[in-house]
Amino acid sequence: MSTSRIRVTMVILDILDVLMSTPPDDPAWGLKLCEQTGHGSGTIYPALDRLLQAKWIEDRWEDPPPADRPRRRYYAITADGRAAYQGVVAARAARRTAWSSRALRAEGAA
Amino acid sequence: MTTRRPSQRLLAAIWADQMAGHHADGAVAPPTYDYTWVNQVPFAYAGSVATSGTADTPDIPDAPSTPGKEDATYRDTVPDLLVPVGDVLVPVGEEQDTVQVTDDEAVQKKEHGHQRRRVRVRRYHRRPARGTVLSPARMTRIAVSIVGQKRSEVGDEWRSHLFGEPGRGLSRRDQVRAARGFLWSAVRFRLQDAADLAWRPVDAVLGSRTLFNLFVWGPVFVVLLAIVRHDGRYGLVADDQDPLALGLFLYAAIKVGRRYRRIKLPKHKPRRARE
Repeated sequence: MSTSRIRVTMVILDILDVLMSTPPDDPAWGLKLCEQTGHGSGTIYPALDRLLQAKWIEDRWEDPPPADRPRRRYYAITADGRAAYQGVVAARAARRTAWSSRALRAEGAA
Repeated sequence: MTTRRPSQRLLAAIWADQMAGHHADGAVAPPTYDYTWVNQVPFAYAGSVATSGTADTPDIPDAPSTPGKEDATYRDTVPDLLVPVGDVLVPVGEEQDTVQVTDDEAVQKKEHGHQRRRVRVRRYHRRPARGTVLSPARMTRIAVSIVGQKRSEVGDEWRSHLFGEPGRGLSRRDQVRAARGFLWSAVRFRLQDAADLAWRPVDAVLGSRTLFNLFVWGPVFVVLLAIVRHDGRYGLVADDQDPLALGLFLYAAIKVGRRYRRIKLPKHKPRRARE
């Protein structure tokens, strides 16, 4: 089964938004994604799993593992994910532009 | 001393009370019970405040707030048999010295130095909060066990989530919410794995030319054989639409399935040139 395409929901877009703006020295992990997107853990982790299967993001474990707390799983966006995200954002912008132009034309005709 | 759960103690107390009622004056009406909820079992609890405990009448410590977390002191000092006095339970042998007073009265009696043993009624009108039944860590362990071996690494991830940032940990409420999310995620992961497992044979048919031909031509061939056996060779001419319709249906089903599952067949390999 090809997994390069997934259904892009608002949760997926929110996660990709955060990952696109995450600096490499402070990578995103589960709790950070939950807090920055405002979604709960029951929504974020299945969405992360779908993104991982689609290879839009990649994960790595904290290395070396700290002694005083459990190790974290960091996520970063891949080149495929970046391209897909830009495509989705461009498509949304085009839809909004088309909608607004249609609305303007309708107002002008009225 | 054998340790009994509150529900067992309650049953023992009721039994002891009934037995005492048989030996006592029959004119005395049995007491009415007003059992409240303590740690999810109906249990009216009496704590000693007016006098300090002695060897015969040990103090009853506060009931533990978390089920299953009874400490050794609590287990060792709670008597095995309690009898109801009013709407509280007191140790056997102390019922004659026990009267029910309110909190304010108990404090008042203590201030005035009464020697008679008093008890303060502690009421637990509210059931424990829903989040305290299963701790977040326990819910996370359950979620990890639901996920299974295939995704066992999420255990570390979820534990680090519960831990939070160093010096800025999650509140208890946030931990409970996160743990519930883990449970929901685990169920979704498990359902996803089950669905993938169910799709596996279908994907095998959709992604293989050999299995595709077998899936389409096999039933058609069986139908042709049945027609020949039943109607003879001339039946093939009369019923030719049946195997044709079956073959077209299976072919269309395969095409739709491939589109739905986004499966593309591998390209044909070029045949070797004959030497």
